[in-house]
Amino acid sequence: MKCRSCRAPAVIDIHRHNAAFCHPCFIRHCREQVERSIKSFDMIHPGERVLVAVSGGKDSLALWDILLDAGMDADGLYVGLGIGDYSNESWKYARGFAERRGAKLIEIDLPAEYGYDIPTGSSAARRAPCSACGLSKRHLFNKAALDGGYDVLATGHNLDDEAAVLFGNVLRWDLPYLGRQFPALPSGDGFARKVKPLVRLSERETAAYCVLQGIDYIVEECPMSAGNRHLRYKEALNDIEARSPGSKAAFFFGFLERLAPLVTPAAEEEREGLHPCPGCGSPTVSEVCAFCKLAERAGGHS
Amino acid sequence: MIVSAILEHLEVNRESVLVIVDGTLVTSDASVGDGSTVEVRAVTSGGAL
Repeated sequence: MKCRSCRAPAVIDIHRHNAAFCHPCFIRHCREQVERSIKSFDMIHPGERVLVAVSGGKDSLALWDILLDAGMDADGLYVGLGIGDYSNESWKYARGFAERRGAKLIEIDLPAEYGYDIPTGSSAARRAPCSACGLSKRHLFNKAALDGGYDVLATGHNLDDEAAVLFGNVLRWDLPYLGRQFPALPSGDGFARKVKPLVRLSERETAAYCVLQGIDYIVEECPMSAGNRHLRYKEALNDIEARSPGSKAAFFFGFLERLAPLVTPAAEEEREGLHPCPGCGSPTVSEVCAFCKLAERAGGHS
Repeated sequence: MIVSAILEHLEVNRESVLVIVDGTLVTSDASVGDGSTVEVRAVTSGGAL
């Protein structure tokens, strides 16, 4: 195959674009897709301080690399979740990248600083591991962004992630969740601005970006996520995508264009009931926020 | 053998992997010679969001 842009030998074919790219043109393609997302969803403005949530995986490291190459003031944030060797390994990749790029990495150790780890928290709170993990990370990311005075929190959610989450939300017709599923959420009411600049790139593209840029990332999947619902949704969507390239992008961007404006009020309605948690000050609609409840049940503290 | 044929033989969805031959990323129409080292790298991650 030849590169669509320059006709040099291609290194990757992207079926939804019906195109293949050589190494330099593919890197340019990734940067352009991120730049397009940032502009079209008004994610990051010139001169703003960005906090990038990094896991040591391909998506977050690719995002951090692209933002740094774009000249942005972007620091990283790693949360050690206490998932045994997996956490130790992923931490090394996050640190290794920060050192190689000379970038600042903020580190939070959940067991050391909050007194619980994800396996314990999950079982004590009777939550699925990914639910306890997501809840903890969302709280700590938001807190770190606000405490550090960052203008925006960027996460490495890609097109596959967003399409799979949308698929799950549609299966349950979960209107408040659908109303919040937007690539850029504004700040306010105790929330930092949150953006997902990789929404125009598939995870196959972010992995290829890392391979081609020589970015070492943790290839193994988190042992606690094996067989989870989100992976099953991705598998189903990939089956559709293989037969009908472009389906995932059409599904997600069609939702943003046509349906999101109709369901946004459901999320706004929920936001009206927010108040500061008496335990940690984070916004919540319950008496005590979900993070404080989880930490308490797990024998930790918030 | 062609990369796409290898993936079909392995019953692997092309959307969920990268193929790296002798350390180089390749497209689905690339030909793999005898003695080459082929890595079929999964790209699907499914943790907490």
